[in-house]
Amino acid sequence: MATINVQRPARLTLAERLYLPAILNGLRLTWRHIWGERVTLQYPEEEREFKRVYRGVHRLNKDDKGRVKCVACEMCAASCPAHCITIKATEVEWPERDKIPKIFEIDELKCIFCGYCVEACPEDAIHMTRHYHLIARSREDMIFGLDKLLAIYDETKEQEVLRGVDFGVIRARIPGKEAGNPDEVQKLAYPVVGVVTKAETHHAQ
Amino acid sequence: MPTMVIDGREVTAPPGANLIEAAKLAGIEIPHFCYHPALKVVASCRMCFVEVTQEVRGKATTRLTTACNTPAADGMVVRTDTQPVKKAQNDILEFLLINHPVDCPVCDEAGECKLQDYAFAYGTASSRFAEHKRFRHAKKLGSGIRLYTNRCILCDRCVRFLRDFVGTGELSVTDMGNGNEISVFPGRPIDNVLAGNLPEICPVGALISEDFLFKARVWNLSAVDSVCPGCSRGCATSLDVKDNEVQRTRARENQAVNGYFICDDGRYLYHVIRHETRLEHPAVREGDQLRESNWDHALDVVVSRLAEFPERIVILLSPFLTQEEVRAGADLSEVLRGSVLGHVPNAVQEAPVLFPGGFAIDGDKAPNSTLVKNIAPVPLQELAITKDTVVLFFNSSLRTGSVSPLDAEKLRRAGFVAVIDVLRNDITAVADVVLPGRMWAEKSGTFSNSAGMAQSFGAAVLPPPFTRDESDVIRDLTRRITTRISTGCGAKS
Ligand code: SF4
Ligand code: SF4
Ligand code: SF4
Ligand code: SF4
Ligand code: FES
Repeated sequence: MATINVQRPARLTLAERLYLPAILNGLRLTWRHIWGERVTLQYPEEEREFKRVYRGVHRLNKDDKGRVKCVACEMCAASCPAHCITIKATEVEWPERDKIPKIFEIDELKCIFCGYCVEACPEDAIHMTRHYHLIARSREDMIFGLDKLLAIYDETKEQEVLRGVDFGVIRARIPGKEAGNPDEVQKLAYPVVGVVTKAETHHAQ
Repeated sequence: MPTMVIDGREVTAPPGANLIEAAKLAGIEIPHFCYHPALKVVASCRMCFVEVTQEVRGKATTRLTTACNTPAADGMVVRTDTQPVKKAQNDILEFLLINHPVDCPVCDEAGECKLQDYAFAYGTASSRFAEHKRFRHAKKLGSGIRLYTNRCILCDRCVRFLRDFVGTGELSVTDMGNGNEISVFPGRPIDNVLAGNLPEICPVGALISEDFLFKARVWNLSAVDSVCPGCSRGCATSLDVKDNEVQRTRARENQAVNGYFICDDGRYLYHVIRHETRLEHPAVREGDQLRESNWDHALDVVVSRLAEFPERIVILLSPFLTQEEVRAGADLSEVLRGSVLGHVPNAVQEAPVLFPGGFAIDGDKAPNSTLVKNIAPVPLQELAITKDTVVLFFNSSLRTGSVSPLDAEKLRRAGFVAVIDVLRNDITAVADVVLPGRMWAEKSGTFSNSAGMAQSFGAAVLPPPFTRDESDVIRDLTRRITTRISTGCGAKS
């Protein structure tokens, strides 16, 4: 029979057995947070402001002539791990291109907001905005079609949003490129910027 | 039979084989664009370089050569992976991509494109060409074929196919040097029934089928092996399916029947699956009208009519049925003692065509005539049909007009007609019971072609919900009859 030597924990010291020092320690932490910087906020009156790499609701960009930029190549759909993008293409007779989406749907309920679609797009046609209010009355309404995705573009076109090239900086994995500047990465990758109070707009609704 | 060594593997190639074919036997792929096994070798693309060591005048000599026009010879030592070969492949790809737009995202070929695959496997991601790329507009060449001129790599396959294989020669290479492009003669568009093969023959996305244009990305398609029901030749096809719909038909290699190609009639026949005249519900005649019904009732109507001891029962088989359905029909005629078995010959007949390349199209535009004529030799015209006759007509015709006016006239004389079919036609309009069947793409079965070769195929798409497999219906009918009518009283003889 082999002998197994077991290391028994040392006996508790008197202070530990009293529990009080630990409790006081904990209370000190609580006390410090009560008076320290406030991190919770009064959503929906207050909202967080995010950096542009925040991955919120998608938008479909328009070209300089105001037409959909997407060429219905289905690269986004091919890269989507949630299989939530449905595209049907159609032919157009524009001088510079002949293929655009007839149907472009993203099921925002299935989407896991990974951003792969943005990264995969060869046309920079799909971006992710900082919108994160996803409210609808039914599951069907959460399937965003062409109209809606283009309308989001109109709403957010002034915004700086997540673009495909940002992934190069964040992930620094473009073959043959040096790893991204750590400061740059830090700036992009930490998404929260600050808090905006929107009390008036919400009450107005 | 020459025996040689390719990349260290010993291969015995059939006489006359070139190095590409020989390497294929050893499981080694030599990249190539202009070579196609059914076409003449021109060795113009230079993609297939390999290093060959061979004895020349008593001395072992190593040289870089194109594999497509080098016949396999005894004692050759071939390397496909040396530095000079790799450099040659890379250089050729760089040349080909100089004017190539690389618009893969909007190119229907992407995913099955040789240029894309080879650029990935044998090329580099960068190009040293900094100038503007040549630009050409896309052209419609006729017969539903479009040329995306920018993407053409001038491999000449399409020209050789039309000139040597089809014999019509609509395409040629026009202009000189940098201006080279594939064109038709002014006012003479592509016009032949093998044109649909061009997008498959083109190794890149230059020749594109308008029928498939922008319909789907090829990686979303699943291919199902099938047999073309378009004529009694029985070409091997592949049905490419997405969202439970056939998106296109491609030729599948079968050297015993069709080689590498299929004709356009068979290629575009898949549109009939979702045709607007498709029968989707069983229907039973009430007075002048056919009323939508359910299977149970419709089959009961047929069985009740048979149980009334009709004067005469005629079971008619059509050459559009599969072998299994024909057999089920023949079995039913055994159960219904005294019934007569016959067939309705296919009326859609065209002149057979033979192309210089050896491809043949049969004149009989139905897939299973040989077998049907064997099992039910009597044609409808030789059968007596009176108003006391009950006719069970098992059709499944993909073609309008497959029942000749004479046959249709004769069927109209019958007292009661029950028909299984897939499309609405003259016969279903006058029938008393109409049962909706399934298309070849929706069921499995076997066709025996004009040479007597039996070929099986599987289902590619789900059928419309209220249709049923013909053999299943015939067997169901048989079962209902045997339970309802005691054997021997099926008909007065
Ligand atoms: S964010 Fe990710 S899951 Fe959502 S649509 Fe894009 S690829 Fe799909
Ligand atoms: S990857 Fe971009 S261009 Fe392609 S379909 Fe998606 S959004 Fe459109
Ligand atoms: S032909 Fe091939 S390489 Fe060229 S654009 Fe089409 S898929 Fe890409
Ligand atoms: S169109 Fe296609 S098959 Fe014809 S030469 Fe160009 S690349 Fe070759
Ligand atoms: S395949 Fe050999 S040169 Fe084109």
